[in-house]
Amino acid sequence: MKGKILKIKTGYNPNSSSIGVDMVVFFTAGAAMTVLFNTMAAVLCAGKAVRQEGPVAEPLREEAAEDLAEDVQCPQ
Amino acid sequence: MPAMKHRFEAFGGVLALEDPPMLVHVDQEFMRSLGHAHSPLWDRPQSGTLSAPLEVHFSVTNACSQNCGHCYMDSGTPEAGELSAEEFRNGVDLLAEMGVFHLALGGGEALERPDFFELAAYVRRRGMVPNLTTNGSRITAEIAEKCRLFGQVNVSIDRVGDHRGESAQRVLAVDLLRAAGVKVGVNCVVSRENFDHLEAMFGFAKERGLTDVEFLRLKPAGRARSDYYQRRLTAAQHREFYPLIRDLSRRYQVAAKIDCSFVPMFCWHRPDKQLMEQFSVYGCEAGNVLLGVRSDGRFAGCSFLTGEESILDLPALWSRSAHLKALRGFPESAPEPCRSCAYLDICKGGCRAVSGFVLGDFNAPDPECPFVVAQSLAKERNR
Repeated sequence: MKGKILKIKTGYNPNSSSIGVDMVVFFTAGAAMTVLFNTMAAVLCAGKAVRQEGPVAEPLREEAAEDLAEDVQCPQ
Repeated sequence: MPAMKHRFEAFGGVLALEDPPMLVHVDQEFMRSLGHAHSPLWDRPQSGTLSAPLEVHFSVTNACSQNCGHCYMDSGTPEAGELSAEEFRNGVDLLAEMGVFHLALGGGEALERPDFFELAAYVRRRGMVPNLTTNGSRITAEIAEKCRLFGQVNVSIDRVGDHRGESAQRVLAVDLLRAAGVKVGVNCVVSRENFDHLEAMFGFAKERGLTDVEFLRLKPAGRARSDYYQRRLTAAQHREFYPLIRDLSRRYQVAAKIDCSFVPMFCWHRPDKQLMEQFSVYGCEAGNVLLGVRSDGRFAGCSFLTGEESILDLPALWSRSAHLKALRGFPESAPEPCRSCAYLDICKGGCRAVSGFVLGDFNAPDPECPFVVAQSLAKERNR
């Protein structure tokens, strides 16, 4: 996988008046790294699922999807 | 099934996942490595303005039977000219085509609109995630089951402890939603009355297994304008707010969120800027990351501002609207002390609605920002 993750926003914002900011990464030492790792895993698993189950938004290239499948245990 | 939607931006793209829910901004190379072809947007100069909002806050009706004293929408009776179901669907179609990911549905009380679930289901069908804010008054076991279509439902509760009357109904709504398997959070407007009782909110959230508690700053909008100065937090409380919720969040192991208008109070404690950027700490992103739409279809940068333009014209107005341009332009024209503030590009001057009400100037720095307050005090001392 090449390229960079620039920014992550976790969770939903059901509040219909303003944007919510999840503060957990500022409260807990190491939380940022956990979130970053989980984000990478989720992106890669989503890519794998697209390959296995057909396109959800736009199809991935086959070779890219194979790269994504490496080293991440995705729930079946 | 893990699903990943995406849209292109000049910097690369935004990926949207549902399980776990997150929005991820990635660069062009990352998009290419996911298999996406070159986007024409990548040839354009990069700016801070997105190609469309990421989330839209949509009031589906102004009707609400609760008559809360601090209602920022002055809700009660339906607005004249509220969008019909067909007009709402047309608006949703436009937002879907622009690449909006999330719609936060609210009111008034959204559940008082008879066709509400049909509208929410339509948002889903158009590929966006509907979320809901409710006062809980209409939640029954049957309604709670229907709420499973939302990404998350937040119930507005400002104080817990006295579970009687209206408060009891809100707590019951939380319990019914949880029993139905809905992700539930709480929206808590922080004011002088409940500042010393926030610990009880964390205890409540822990006990109920809530997803998170979102703390909202009281805004001078709607009925809250009438006693805003009596109810807003004091300057000392604004400074104490962040350490207080940090300590309570740690102690109770409950996720806490703050809304965009509290970002100046967070910045006062000198958080790591890089971490703020990486984890999407948004200050005033009205008219960029988010957009507020009233039940009659008029949109503004956020729900606390007023605009006269129609959501049905948004695709053409997104890059042309003078209202939106003015909101986005704050960092370039910011006066002191914002101009010299290291957090300007994140905070963006604090809450425009507060500046507009307190100072009569939407483009002035937020007068309740601790840095602004400190500067004012220093000026007074030097006179």
